Amino acid sequence: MQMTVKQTNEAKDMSSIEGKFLTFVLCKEEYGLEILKVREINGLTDITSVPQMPDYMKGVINLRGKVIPVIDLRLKFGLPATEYTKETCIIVVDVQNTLVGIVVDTVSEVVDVNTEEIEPAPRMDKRVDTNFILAMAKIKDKVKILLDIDKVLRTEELEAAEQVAFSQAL
Amino acid sequence: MSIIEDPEIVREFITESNDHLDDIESKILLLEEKPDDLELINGIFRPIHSMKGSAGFLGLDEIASLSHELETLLDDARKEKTKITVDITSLLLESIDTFKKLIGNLLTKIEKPEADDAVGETADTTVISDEVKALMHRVTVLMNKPVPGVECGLRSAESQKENLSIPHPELRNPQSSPKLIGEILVDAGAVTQEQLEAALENQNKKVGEILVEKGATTPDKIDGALQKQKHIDKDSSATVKVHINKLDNLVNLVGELVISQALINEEISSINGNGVSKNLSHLGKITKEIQDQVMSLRMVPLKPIFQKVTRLVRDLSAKAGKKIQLEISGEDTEIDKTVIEQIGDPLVHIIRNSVDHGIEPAAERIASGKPATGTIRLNAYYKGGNIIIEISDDGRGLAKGKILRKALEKGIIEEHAVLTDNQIYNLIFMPGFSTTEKVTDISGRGVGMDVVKKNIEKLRGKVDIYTKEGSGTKFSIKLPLTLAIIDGMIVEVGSEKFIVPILSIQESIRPKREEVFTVQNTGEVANIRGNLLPIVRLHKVYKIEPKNLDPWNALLVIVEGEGQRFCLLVDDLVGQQQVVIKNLGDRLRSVRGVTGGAILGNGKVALILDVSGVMDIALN
Repeated sequence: MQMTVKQTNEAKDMSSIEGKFLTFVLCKEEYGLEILKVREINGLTDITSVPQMPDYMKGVINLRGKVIPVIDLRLKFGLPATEYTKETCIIVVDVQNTLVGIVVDTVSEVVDVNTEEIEPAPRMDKRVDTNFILAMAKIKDKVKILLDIDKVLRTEELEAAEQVAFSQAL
Repeated sequence: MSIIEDPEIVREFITESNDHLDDIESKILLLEEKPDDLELINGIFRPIHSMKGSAGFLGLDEIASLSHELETLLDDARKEKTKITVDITSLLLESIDTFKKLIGNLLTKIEKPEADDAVGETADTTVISDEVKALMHRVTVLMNKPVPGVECGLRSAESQKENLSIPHPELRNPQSSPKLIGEILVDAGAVTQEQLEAALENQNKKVGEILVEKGATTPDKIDGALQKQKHIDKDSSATVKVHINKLDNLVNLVGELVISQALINEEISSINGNGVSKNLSHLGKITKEIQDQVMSLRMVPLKPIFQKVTRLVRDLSAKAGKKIQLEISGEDTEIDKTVIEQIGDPLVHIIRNSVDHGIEPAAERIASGKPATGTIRLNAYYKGGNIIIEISDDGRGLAKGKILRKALEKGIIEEHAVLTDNQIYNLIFMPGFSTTEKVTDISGRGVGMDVVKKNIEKLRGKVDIYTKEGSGTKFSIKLPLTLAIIDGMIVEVGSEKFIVPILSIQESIRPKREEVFTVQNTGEVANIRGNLLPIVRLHKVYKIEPKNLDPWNALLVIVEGEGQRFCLLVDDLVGQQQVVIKNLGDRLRSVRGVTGGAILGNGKVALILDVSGVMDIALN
């Protein structure tokens, strides 16, 4: 997570990022996900917890007969946990051909983001690893953080492997 | 040589070719019994021709050239310019193996395109290229052989030996063979030469022709019947290729449908019956039928595996220098696709053992009054909710004494252990066990049978041995019809439910206070009829608030995993239920103590426990 070194300083090609994004709220901040990766949005259902997993891995749920894992995005980003409310939703995303659910505070809307509205991510915000951020979008005076959901939901094993590689490279 | 521009087309070619190759292989094996069957030869010619075309189109030169050579050979055969001999069928079989290797390489290439050109030719590809060249050379040689009986009017004894079966014994050179019925009759004056020849001609004609000649029917009716024959053949192979993901999704949805329908049923039936209940029960019946149909979609017949065995027995018996005939029945019995992929290896291993150790060499067999040719019987059928696969041979059976001695030697059993016959025979499943003095490359290394047993148990099956020294051995493998369903016991811990596989449960009891002890203030044990079994508190493992902290107010479920027995502390037993095992996905694969999830009747997911994994977590 904080230790990934793959991030370089090259500005990502802004025009390749434009498109439709699903926006949602976490800790009063707005984030966006590429709409093409979103499978569906569900209300909060019973989550069966699985032992010995990091705390952001909340457990599994039943998605019409399929069992899929659910991640609490607040905890994944190191934000404080919160009580789930009626507004809490699970967004089911399709990454690397698997379905994963992410728990968010509320879901807002689908927005069309143009190239002019996109800016590269600033380096100051340490809470969200800049590696997870595709870019920032300025829409109607509000700033939304566009996430690279593939990077966010990379499997833990891969991250562990990278941790090892990093520490060996030091 | 990167010709792979469109991996999809290549993948199609690979799947199609593998299908063709399997089809051809079984036809070649049949051809060995019936070398003159033109239908069979055509049946082999057509797929090879088709493969040649596609391979040429894709620029796969080696596959195309080898197919071309074989096609020419087969064309000669179907025009009856070349006779099918054992050399030819062996050549064909070996070509199939080489094709499979070439296709395998192709698959690797498209799956890992980077690994390829820079590295250059690997040892593998050069070896295979040599094989291809050698095979093509043999084709030329075989095709240049003079056909016995065509070039020279008289068949020599040499060329007679080459043929697998001599189709028209009456046409043999009268001087070099014993007198034939026809000749004797003619000599005796009972029949004229012309009558004899007319009769012999009839033998060669097809049923249709004879009937037409006799005026029993007309050529049109014969054609009609032939058409029907072809149609029936076609119908049985009218299939649709479906991606397995689609099937899995369908199975999941249908599972949910059944649960939903059951829930509705429960709710409505509590409202006193009206017209709804009749419709509901109808809905229930339809849902059940849909479920059965969908489950059967994943079932595939055992035929391809049995065919693999046919080829295996042919090759192995030739290698071992033994004559063995294989009898198969029940090859149309169907089994779940996932099971079939795992059952091949154990089956192959048992057959290998049968050929290598079971069936005695011809001389020994004759000495004990058995026919020189050994028999291996492969049988599959349904019984109860299971499929049974039996492999039996009429070989020398398992030697009790030898097994006991070997087991003592290896320290697997103790000096004065008293074992039943069955227990003795089951010793062969222990790791490291093998009673042969010679290790061949077929078997004898002692790593086989325990892996066989483990693989079968992984499929939640059982393997039993029935044997009689001197008469033979029978292995009976019992497998559940589908991998995905297990019998589970739903247990409650606090407000959470878990599923414990029934197979692992021995009993459940509520212990008395006096029967529970703490050991060194850290571990707890329960005294169950004299045995001290460790207690594992599930609520501690899963960090749940239990309803009862004291075992004597709760329940102990005594389980067994990998040879160890212990007790699980739970609050309640909810009930026994058949559940469908759902994979938890890649990221959760490494979780210990859990083998998967199941969806309960209320839609919630419950974890299915792996008892030995839970024990590991608890005691560490």
